[in-house]
Amino acid sequence: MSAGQQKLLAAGLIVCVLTLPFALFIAPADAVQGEAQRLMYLHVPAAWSAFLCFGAVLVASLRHLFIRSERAWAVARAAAEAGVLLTALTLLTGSIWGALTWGTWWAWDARVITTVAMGLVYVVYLTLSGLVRTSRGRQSASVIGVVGFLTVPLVHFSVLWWRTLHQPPTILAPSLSPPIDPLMGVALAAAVLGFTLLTAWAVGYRAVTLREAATRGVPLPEPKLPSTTTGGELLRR
Amino acid sequence: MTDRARPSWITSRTARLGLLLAACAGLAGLGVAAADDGMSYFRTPSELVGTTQPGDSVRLGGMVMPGSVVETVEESTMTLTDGATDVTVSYPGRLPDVVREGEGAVVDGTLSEDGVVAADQIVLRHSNEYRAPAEVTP
Repeated sequence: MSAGQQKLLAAGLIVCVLTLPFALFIAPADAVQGEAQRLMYLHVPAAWSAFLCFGAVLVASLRHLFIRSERAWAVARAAAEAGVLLTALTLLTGSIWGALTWGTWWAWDARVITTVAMGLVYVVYLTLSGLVRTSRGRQSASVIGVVGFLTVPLVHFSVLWWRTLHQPPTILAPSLSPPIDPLMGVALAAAVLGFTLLTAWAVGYRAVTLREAATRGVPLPEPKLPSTTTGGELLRR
Repeated sequence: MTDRARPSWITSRTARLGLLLAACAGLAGLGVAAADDGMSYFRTPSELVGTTQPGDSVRLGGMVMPGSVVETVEESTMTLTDGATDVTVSYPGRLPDVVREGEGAVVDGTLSEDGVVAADQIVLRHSNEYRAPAEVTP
């Protein structure tokens, strides 16, 4: 791990530890929802970090499309992996929160439909990028990495474009005074910062691991490929 | 097969193909469902009037009108409003804890002859406001 990555990890961990007392004790519980509202400090940062990851997939995929950068290819895959995990965490925490305050674990409203679709698009991206063997294949996967980003505004605006069970946005809405208690706002901002730092670290770390595995030439996942260098393998490098 | 970056169960070509197909099928399923039912999760009281026949199943959303909740052990009623139209909702037994006057609610039920929606499920639709409980002044 490089010195920069170590600092990123340390900063992320420190912010998350400092967030805990705010999220658990200092910020008040919501007047209507009670203690369950504290799930916000997991649910919102998870969703935000997933959006960031898919933004990274977009940028890295564009970079790979234009300059065929090996590094960008690894970053795109690493960010997509983190983004899918964070989308799953968003749905999980959302489901628990919904059970506690809405009175239902799952409601197929537009927010949930688009969020599940977003996750699936990046599962498609990841499986495809793991299957392709040629440079053209990688370019096609990168196109999905670019176009897939359309799902991010779809998820964010779903609660404004359609009638949903999920409430409209509190923070990223055109309002100068978000309707949130200031101490809740502090806890939420800290949690978002902590998640962002840890996600950036995880994506960077994972990208290096993927890159090392690729340059060592170890991963020939399918045993059917001949061990001698083939045209396809050359293209893959 | 010593790729330590990725566990073998996910690097197998068959597993990836299977996952790819499953994800595509899931996306197609979501698309078909959305095109079929529309993306609106519920209808408003105003939309209900005139478009729904008695006996139809409905999912209705609105604000629980303050002062409208009448609870008994056998049957409870409340009024859902969108500001223009009010619809009475009945529910067998006491209302779920999530129902609060002045907050949103979404009910699944059936429209009866008298225009009342007989609900079998009620969920809360809360606002995007997060506030501390009001201070209790001594």
